[in-house]
Amino acid sequence: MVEKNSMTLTFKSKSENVSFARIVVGSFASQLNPTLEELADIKTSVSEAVTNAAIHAYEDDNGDIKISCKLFKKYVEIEIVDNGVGIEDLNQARQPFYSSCNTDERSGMGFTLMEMFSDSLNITTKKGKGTTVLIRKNIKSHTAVKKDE
Amino acid sequence: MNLNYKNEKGITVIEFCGELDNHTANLTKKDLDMIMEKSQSTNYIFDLSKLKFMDSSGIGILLGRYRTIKNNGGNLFVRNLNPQIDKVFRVSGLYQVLIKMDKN
Repeated sequence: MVEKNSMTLTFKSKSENVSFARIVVGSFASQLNPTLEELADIKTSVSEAVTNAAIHAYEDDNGDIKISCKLFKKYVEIEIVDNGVGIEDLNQARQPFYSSCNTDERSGMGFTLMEMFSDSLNITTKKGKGTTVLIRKNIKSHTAVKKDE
Repeated sequence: MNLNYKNEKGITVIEFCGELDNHTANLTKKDLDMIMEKSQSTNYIFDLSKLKFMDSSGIGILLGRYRTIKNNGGNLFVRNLNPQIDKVFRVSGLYQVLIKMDKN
């Protein structure tokens, strides 16, 4: 697939930046004319992935989180990268209702929502090195508009 | 995230205004607890018509309040969810415990 457009953004692992990340990715993905539901799905997935990085990757809120977004004809690919602690047990982390944080009221539904709101989800992680989450969302509405391209 | 509350036929209605994510969750939790402590209602309605977005951080907050309300013998109702929030509720199973009211 030929990439139509791409962007990369790095910001600090502060929780107030999660909203910013949703807006930026949503705005960029809008170039593909997604439906409101597709856009909401993208924003929700991004919110979960960036929140995970902001809460779990680093000891403080001074770590870097990098988002890359690639637009293709029929889908968008979003990559969220941190170089923090990494996920100790990925299978456990992906279990619904599991959270490694016991202090706050955490639902442990982050990965579940990411899976349900995206068309494919790929996670690579290494202890002490960091985590990369790759989200793909198909944009069906785009193919309905243009025939020959 | 701002909260407004009022009494509606003996039930406390709490209106959520803004977005409910990790950043706003802690303050929202404190404000909710304060309102619930003050109003001492058994049943609650959370009106989400002005809530623009919610992710899994919101699920945790709502479930926490639900437990408190349930322990006091009450029910937690929700109304006016936008499509994004409705989808989060459906996917997470929140509708198993929170009761959806018809649109008003």
